[in-house]
Amino acid sequence: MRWFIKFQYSIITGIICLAIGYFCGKELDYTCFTLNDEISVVDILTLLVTIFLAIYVGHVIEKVNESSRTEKTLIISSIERLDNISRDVANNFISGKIEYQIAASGLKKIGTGIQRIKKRAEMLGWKTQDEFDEILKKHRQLRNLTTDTPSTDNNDSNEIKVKQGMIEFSSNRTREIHNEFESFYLLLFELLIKINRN
Amino acid sequence: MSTFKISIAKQFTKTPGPRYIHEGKFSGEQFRLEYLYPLFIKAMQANQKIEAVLDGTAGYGTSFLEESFGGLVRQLVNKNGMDVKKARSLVNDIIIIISEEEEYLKDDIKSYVMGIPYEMVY
Repeated sequence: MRWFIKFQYSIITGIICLAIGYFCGKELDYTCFTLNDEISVVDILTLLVTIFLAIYVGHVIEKVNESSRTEKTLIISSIERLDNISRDVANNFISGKIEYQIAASGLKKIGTGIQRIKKRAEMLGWKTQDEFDEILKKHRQLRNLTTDTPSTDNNDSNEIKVKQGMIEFSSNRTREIHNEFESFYLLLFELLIKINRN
Repeated sequence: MSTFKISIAKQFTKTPGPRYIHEGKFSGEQFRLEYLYPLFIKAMQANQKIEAVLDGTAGYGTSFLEESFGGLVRQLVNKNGMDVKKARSLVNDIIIIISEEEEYLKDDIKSYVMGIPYEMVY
């Protein structure tokens, strides 16, 4: 009963269409089609194989599509997770002071995240190499901005200093880091769009 | 041919620090002076390679890696009087970087050793 209520409009439309077809056919005296008294075994076999293949191929294609959809969903959620991790890491730099090891570990989390997603996309044969190259380039810039402290040969920089294991950034460098993180999120977003279109 | 192996996480620390010893614990300078340089000299004399394993740590800052590997070239030039080109090519030949967790670090280290931007590594 519930099934009938759910499909009532489709059923009623179907019955109306059949009735119209029946009366039109009768009116025009259309003889439909005729069946031979003898049907060859080969024809029956051909028909059965065709039906089997139609069902089987449809089923296989559906399975392939389903698996691709699942992979896509997984990768999309990984990118979203990476975006969240990056935002958490970026928050650590807002104060302009951070422990060296914490900065390095945050950047490693982002880097390994990018690498994992890149490998998965490569396995699926997606053409996202350029996007990942850009993201890795941006990640490298972020690492250099945040943890490339000057050597004694080049110690005139006031942008970044380390004292007792703490990195201190100038307000200018802090802004620069913030901007680089913003463009990093943008690159992740562009990757997300590209994967969605795949 | 056997190779020397050095794992930063197992033999030095899981939390590598800044560039210089005076800047904080587990610095790149400390790693180079206490582990990398002595092993490098040993490998050079024995005509062997060094596998430097980077995996297993919490993460590396740029200055730690630059001071360890780029600093090794500078040390060979300044303290051992080696020619810059020869020092770069020796370090590049002898040290094999192993990094599965952060593959991109291989290019970075190569650029520190060769003194070129990372885009020109390959």
